Amino acid sequence: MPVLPERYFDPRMLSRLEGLDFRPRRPVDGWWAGDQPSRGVGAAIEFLEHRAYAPGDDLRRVDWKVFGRTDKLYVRQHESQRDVRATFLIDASGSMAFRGSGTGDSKYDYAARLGLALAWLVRHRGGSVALGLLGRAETWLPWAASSQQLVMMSQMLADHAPPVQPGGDNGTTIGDSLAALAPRLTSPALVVIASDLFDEPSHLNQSLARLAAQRQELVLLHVCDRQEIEFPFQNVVHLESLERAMPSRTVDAARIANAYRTQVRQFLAARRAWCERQSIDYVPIMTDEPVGDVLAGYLIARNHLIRSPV
Amino acid sequence: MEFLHWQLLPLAAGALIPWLIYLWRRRQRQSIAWGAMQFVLAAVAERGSTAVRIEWLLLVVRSLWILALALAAAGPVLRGKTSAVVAAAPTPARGWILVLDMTLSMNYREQGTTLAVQAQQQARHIVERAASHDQFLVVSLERRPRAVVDEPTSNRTRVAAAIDALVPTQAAGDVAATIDLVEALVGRAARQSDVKQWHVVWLSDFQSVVWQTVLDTGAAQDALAKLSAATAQQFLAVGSPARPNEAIVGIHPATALATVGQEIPVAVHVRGYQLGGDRQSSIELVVDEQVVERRTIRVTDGRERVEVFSYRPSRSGWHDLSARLGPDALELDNRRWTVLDVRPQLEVLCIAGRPGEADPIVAALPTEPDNELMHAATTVISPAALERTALDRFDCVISANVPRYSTEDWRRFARFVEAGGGLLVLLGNAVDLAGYAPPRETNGAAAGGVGGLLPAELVELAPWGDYQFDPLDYAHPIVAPFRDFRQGAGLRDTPIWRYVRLQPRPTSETVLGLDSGGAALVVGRAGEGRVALLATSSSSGDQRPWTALDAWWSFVPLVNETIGWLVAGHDAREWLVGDVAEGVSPSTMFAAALTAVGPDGSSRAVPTRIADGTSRWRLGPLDRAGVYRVQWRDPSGRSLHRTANVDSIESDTRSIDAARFAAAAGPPPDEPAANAAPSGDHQPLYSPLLLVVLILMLAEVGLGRWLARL
Repeated sequence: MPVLPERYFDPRMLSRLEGLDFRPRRPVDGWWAGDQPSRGVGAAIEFLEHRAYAPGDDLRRVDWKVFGRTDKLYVRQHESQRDVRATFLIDASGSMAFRGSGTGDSKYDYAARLGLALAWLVRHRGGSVALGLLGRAETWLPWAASSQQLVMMSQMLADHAPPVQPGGDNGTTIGDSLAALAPRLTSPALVVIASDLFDEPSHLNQSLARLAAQRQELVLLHVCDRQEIEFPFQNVVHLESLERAMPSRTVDAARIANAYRTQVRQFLAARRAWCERQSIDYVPIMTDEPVGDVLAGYLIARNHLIRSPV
Repeated sequence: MEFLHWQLLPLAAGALIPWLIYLWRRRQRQSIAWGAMQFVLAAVAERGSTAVRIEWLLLVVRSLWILALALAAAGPVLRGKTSAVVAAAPTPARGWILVLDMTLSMNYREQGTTLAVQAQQQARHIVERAASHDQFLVVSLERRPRAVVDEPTSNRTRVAAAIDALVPTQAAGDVAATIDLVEALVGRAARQSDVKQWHVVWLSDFQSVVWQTVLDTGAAQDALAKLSAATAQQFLAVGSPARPNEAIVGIHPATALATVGQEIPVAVHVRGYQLGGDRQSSIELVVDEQVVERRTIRVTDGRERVEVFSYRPSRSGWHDLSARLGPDALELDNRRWTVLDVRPQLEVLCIAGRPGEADPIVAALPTEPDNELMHAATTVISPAALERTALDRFDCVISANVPRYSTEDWRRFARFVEAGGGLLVLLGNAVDLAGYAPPRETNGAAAGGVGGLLPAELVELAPWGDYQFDPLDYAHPIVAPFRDFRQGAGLRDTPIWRYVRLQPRPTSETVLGLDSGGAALVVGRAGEGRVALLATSSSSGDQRPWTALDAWWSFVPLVNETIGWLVAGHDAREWLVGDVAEGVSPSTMFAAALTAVGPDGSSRAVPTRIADGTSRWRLGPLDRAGVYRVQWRDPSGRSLHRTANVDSIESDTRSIDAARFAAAAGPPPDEPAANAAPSGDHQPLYSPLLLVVLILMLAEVGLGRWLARL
């Protein structure tokens, strides 16, 4: 395993995650497994679970033994380590450059840590990972299972960190970036999106829905800064927008604080509700929480759901 | 709108404070790079433009109530509805000359305020109720009347301030001079302003003695009539007609110069005015601020009572004496001052024309402390020694049968007398009449009237005969003690065989005449001192003497009374408040600077002027009653005390009916000033403004709560 940059990789945190799995809930119908018989003798295929037969499923996957016992058609799900493909989409828009007082990481750095930690897990199990940057539509690192992939991912993340300057992005929204990346995600895969989701909701929802329709398993890591959530100001403040699309504004913080927090609560609640309806994993995260704690908690809960017996 | 307290108007700048705070807060804003602008914009949009408007409205409301509060504090007055009528039908501007009496009698206190304050209140009332375009002049009636607002102005704030700044004096007033001043102001105002009709309002107690002069003096009456032809006059009486008052109108020690141990009678004159009967009062004799005697006396209304105290000084130096009554409504005339110069002994210089000529004089003067008489130390010199003898250390110089004096000698005598010394000139058979005509240039304005230092001219020798003194009814203080004695205790039968015929000067006094019709003893005043001239000799030592005076038993008392009178005028001149005190520095203090310490303890330099070989000092006008201490900056530390007292004519609280002046001046204006239907009514605005402040403050609270809910 090559040396991973410490900017994004904490060895202690990784060692803590090592025993956890990060894999799709649904078996991955990759073109490695199932479509072609394995030529390798002794290739490891791990049984995952049964699921109900759906019209169109390959009849060769029907577990006839279960049918004989139950008179119900069930399809065997297998996990092939080689078939785990994960795509990590990290939001690199201007708003992700925000770093609240009292926190060490910007939202971008924190999102990068999250994504790379999960990517490391996938790679640790032999899967392939890809990286795309939202807000920078042409930035894409295709799937690879090479030993250098994580290094290349971290390098790409470091090179495209959004600047901390007003209007420091190029104006591309998250939704636009997702729409632009969607054609690349033809095969069902695990798609992890780490973003503050500061986009027009309907436009973002549309892009996410399209990905979901492409049978991508979406995991939405909603990265938030506590200062942005709580708006702890009292006096007149001049807020310089980090996104080019948004204007800067001087406000009397005491006057708008209540309305601001109401808007944020409504935003978070709407996002959660929509993700639940779409069966999308929605994980709200504060940047002042340790990355390891967050991922451990999430993965444990996720794996528990995955291993629930039918 | 006008303001009674315009000095508070700058407080209105406080209305800018909310705006300054607003700008300062914006300037102090923190600048933060922010990612979640959508929520900020949504929150701003959610609060809506209503909140923004309310915030601006709050700023305006805060500024307004601060402004209203400042305006209310400045005492706004608004001309009322009639002003509009006046403006619509404009009336000519009127001019007002307010003459306020600020003399001593206006210090009279009744109902908690002085008459001066009541006059000021009436004057301000006239100012407030006049039309906005009326113009004003303000004059203070004093001993030297002055215009405190000498150019026509319609700035009533300034006029009110000038009225309020007036302080009643301790002096009497000159009404005639005030009338002249008012007439001059009217003439000048006619050229400076377009006011056609001037109203003169006299605000006074019309104290009888002072104002009676206007009615009695032809010139003053003419001046008043002339003023009435150019202006409309009104006379407003201040104070009630009945104003009881007691006053000390005089304090007179028997002598102003005494020696240690000599008992000095001090006569205090007390008078009551409008007492409505007799009244018991307490009176004190105060010496050097110590009460030496207190009595209860009965003061009779309209009559003068004389209380004689006795004081025996036990030490030399200046002693400040005063008589003091108990408190009443006019306290300034309840105390009167005088000073006593106490010497260890009297210093007398005798210039003997011939050896032994002065012996009778020397023998007549007591050399030991005496209960009644001043004891003296006598120095006898010859005329030749006069040149090298300094006169300043002597209190009295006696010239006995000296043939003649030089011009310089007469000048020295003149300076000596003007500085307060006493000079007794005794003629005799050695006197050269021509040599006794002092040069005229030695005369000062105070030197015995027109003519020389001597109170009489020496005309010629009378023929030998039998003459006797005529005491002239013992009228003069020098011979008054002889009145009750048979033959005037020898005065009347003193043998006189020859004398010099004298021609007394118009301002001199003849103390003793001669049965032949001439004058024997003539006295006069020069500067601060006194001069006496005896037409005959005092010595009978000649082969053919002119008189046997020195052998007669009336000689000793006559010498002592004469010398006592000569030095009694020493420094005894009384000044009135308002006077300018003048004096002559002793020749030994010619170049020394002077300072004067007033009754209030304040110290000031006294200017001096060299004229006719004398150094004359001048202090004043004296502005308050009490003792003034004039000191020469000299190693000797010599000083003299002077007193200034109030003019007792102001103590008479009787008033003249103001209607008599109105009748003399002509018909009053058609709107009496005190009851004038205002040509423009005015309304104070501070109450409505305070109500506005309260409403705005409540509005601020309401708006703030509304904003918080948004």
